[in-house]
Amino acid sequence: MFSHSSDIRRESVIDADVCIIGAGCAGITLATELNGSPLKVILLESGDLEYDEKTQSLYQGENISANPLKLEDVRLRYFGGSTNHWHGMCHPLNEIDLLPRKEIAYPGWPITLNDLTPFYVRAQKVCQLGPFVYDDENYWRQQMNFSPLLSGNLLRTSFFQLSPPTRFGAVYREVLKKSANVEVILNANALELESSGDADHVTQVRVAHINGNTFWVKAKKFVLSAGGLETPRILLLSNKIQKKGLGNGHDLVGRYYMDHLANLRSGTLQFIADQSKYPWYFKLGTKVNHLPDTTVGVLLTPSTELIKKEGITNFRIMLLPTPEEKGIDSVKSIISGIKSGHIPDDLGGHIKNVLSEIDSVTNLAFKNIFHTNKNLLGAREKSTAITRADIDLNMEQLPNRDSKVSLSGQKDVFGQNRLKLDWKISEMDKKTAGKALETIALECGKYNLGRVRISDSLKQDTSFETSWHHMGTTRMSVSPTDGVVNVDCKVHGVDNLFIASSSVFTTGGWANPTLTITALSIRLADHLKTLFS
Amino acid sequence: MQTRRQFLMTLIAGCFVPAGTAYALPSKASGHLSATGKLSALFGNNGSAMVIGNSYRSFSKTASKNLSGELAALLDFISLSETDFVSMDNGNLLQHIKRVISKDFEHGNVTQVDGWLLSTTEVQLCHVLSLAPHE
Ligand SMILES: Cc1cc2nc3c(=O)[nH]c(=O)nc-3n(C[C@H](O)[C@H](O)[C@H](O)COP(=O)(O)OP(=O)(O)OC[C@H]3O[C@@H](n4cnc5c(N)ncnc54)[C@H](O)[C@@H]3O)c2cc1C
Repeated sequence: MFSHSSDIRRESVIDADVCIIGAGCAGITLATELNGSPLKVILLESGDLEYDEKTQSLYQGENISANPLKLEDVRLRYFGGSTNHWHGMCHPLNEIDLLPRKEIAYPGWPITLNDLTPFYVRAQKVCQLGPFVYDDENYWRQQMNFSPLLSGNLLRTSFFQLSPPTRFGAVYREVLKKSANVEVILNANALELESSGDADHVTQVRVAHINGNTFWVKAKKFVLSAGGLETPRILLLSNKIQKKGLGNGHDLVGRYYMDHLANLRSGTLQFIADQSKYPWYFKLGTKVNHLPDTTVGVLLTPSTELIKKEGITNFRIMLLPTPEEKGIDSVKSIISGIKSGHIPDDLGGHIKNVLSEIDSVTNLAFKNIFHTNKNLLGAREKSTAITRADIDLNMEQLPNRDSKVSLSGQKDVFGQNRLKLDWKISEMDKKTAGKALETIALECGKYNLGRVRISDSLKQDTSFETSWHHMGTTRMSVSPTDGVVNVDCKVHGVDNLFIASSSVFTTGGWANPTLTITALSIRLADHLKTLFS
Repeated sequence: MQTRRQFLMTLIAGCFVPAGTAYALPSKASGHLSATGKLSALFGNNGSAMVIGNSYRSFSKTASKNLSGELAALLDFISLSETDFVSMDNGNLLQHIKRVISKDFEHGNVTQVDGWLLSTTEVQLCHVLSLAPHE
C-alpha cells in the first residue's frame, strides 16, 4: 500500500517490524522480497512517484574533487531512485574481485562469489534478465554464432546482459500497492536514526515531509538503502550519541569512496583487419531471440593472469565506432603536396590546422599506410571498410581510505549538513589505465587487428568521469576496524541496523553494480526473515 | 667485404628494381632513392610514411638523418642480411616483415608516435622512407 507523509499525523510514531529507508532498486527489492511475509514493513521514500525539483535539490552538496561533478546530477531522488534512468548493463562481480589481492592494502570481501551466486540467479529475474550465464564463450558461440575478436591470454571477451532497463519504481509499483504487509510512505525524508544506550541499538527514525511535517518510525530492524552517497550521510547525521556518527566508531563511514573510472575516449583503435566479422563488439547489445529476456553485449576485459602479473585493478573496454574526423582536407592536400613535390601555397593555414589537429594528421597517415591495397601489413590483400573505434575504458578503482564523503558545512532545507565529496584518483588507478591501453595496443598489433592511439589525457585526474556508481562508503568486513558492516550487511556495533547498497562493496571490479546490489538485497531479505523466524 | 656505400650502389645498379618499373637509373644523388625503392614499393602512400617518419624524428633522440645508417638499422631489426634483403621477393619480404612486426608487439618492442603505439620496426620503416628523396 502507498501513503504520503503529508497525511501522517504530525509528531506521531508508526510501529513496524522492518523499516527500510530509500526506495531505489535496493529498497524496492527488499520490500518485494518481504511482501507476503508476516512482517510489517515500512518503506520510506524521500521523493514522490515522479521527479520533483525541490526534493531532488536535497541531493546538492559540495564537491572538492578534481572532477567537477555535481552531487545532484549523479543520482535521482524519487520512487525507483537512479533506476529511473539507469542503462541496464548487468554483470556479476568476477571471482578475482572477491578474492584478496596483494595490491589492495585493506582486507577484501569477506564473502566469495559462491556465496553470492544463488542470489545472483534470483536477481536476474528481478532485473528482467535472461539465464545466469555470463562469460561462457562457448555458450554464446552456440546461442548467437559468436566468434571472438581477440583470443589472446591478456585480454578476453566478457559478456554482459542488458536489462530492459527495469524501472524498479514502475515495474514493482503494483506489487507494493497491493501488498498487505508493506507500506510505502512517499515524501518521507529520513533525517536521523535515533539510538539508545551506547548507540548500539536504533530505536526509531525521525522522518519529515519537505514542508516540515515530522513523525517517527519505530521498528525492530532498520535497513538503510538510500544509495552509496546518502547512506553514509544518514549515518554521519545520526550523531546525537556517537558523535562521529552512527556505526562510525572507527572513522570508516564515508571513506573508501569508489566509482568506476570512465574515459570514453581513452584511445582510438584504427582497424586493419576486417572488423565486420565481429559485429557484437560494436553495438550495445544483441538480442538473442530464442532466449527470453536476453540481450547480450560484448566487452574486452583483462585475464586474471594479467591483473595478477601487472598488479593492476580490473577494467573493461568497449569499442565505440567513430566517424571520420573533420579538418582532414588540409592534411590530405599537404600529403598530396609532399607526394607531388609541391608544398601547398597556403602553408600557414595548413600548418595551423595540422597543429590543432595533430591527431588527424597521424590518423590519416595511418589510414593511408594501412588501408590502401598496397598497405604494409596486409600488403596486397584487399582492404576492407575503414573503421575506427573510440576505446571506452571503464575501470575499477583501488580502495583508498582518503577518497571519501563527509559532512559539509552547507545546510539543506532541514538544516542538515549536506554531503562533501572528496573523490581521489590514485597513481595506481592511472597505472591501470595506462596498462589497459597498452595491452589492447599490443594485442591488436600482435594479431594484426589494428593500431591504437593512446589519448594524452589519460595521465590527468580530470580525464576520468563518474560512472554514477557510488561504492565503498560503508564497506563490508569481518572486523569493525576494517569496515562498517559485517558479512550479513549489519552495521558493526549496532544490533539492528543493516545496509543494502553498493556502499557495502569492498572492491568494485569492473561490473556495473546494480545486479550485485539486487543480489545483496535479496540475500539480506532472506537473512531478515530468518532473524524474525 | 662491401662497404655500406658500395651496397647502396649495388642497389642503385638495379639489383632489385624490377625491370620495366618507373625507377629510372639515377642521375647523381638518386642512389638513396633506389635503395629505398624496394621499401617504397611496399607502401601505398610514401607521403604518409613521411608524416610518421618525420613525426618520429621530431622527438627521437637517437634517430639520425643518415639514410644508409638507418637502412642498416632497419635490416638489423628485420634480421636480414643485405643479400637476403636484396634477393627476397616482395611477397616473402612482406610476410617476413609482418611476422617481425607481430613479434615486436608480442615483446613490447614498441615506439609511440603522436600517441600511436607502433612496432619499432614499422616506425623504422617510415623513418627510412621519410629520409629518402622522393620523386
Ligand atoms: C545515468 C545512469 C546510468 C546508470 N547505468 C547503470 C547500468 O547500466 N548498470 C548498472 O548496474 N548501474 C547503472 N547505474 C547505477 C544504478 O542506477 C545504481 O547502481 C542503482 O540505481 C542504485 O540503487 P540503490 O537502490 O542502491 O540507490 P538509489 O537508486 O540511489 O536509491 C536510493 C533511494 O533512496 C531515496 N532516499 C535518499 N535519501 C533518502 C532519505 N533521507 N530518506 C528517504 N529516502 C531517501 C532516494 O530518493 C532513492 O529513491 C546508472 C546510474 C545512472 C545515474
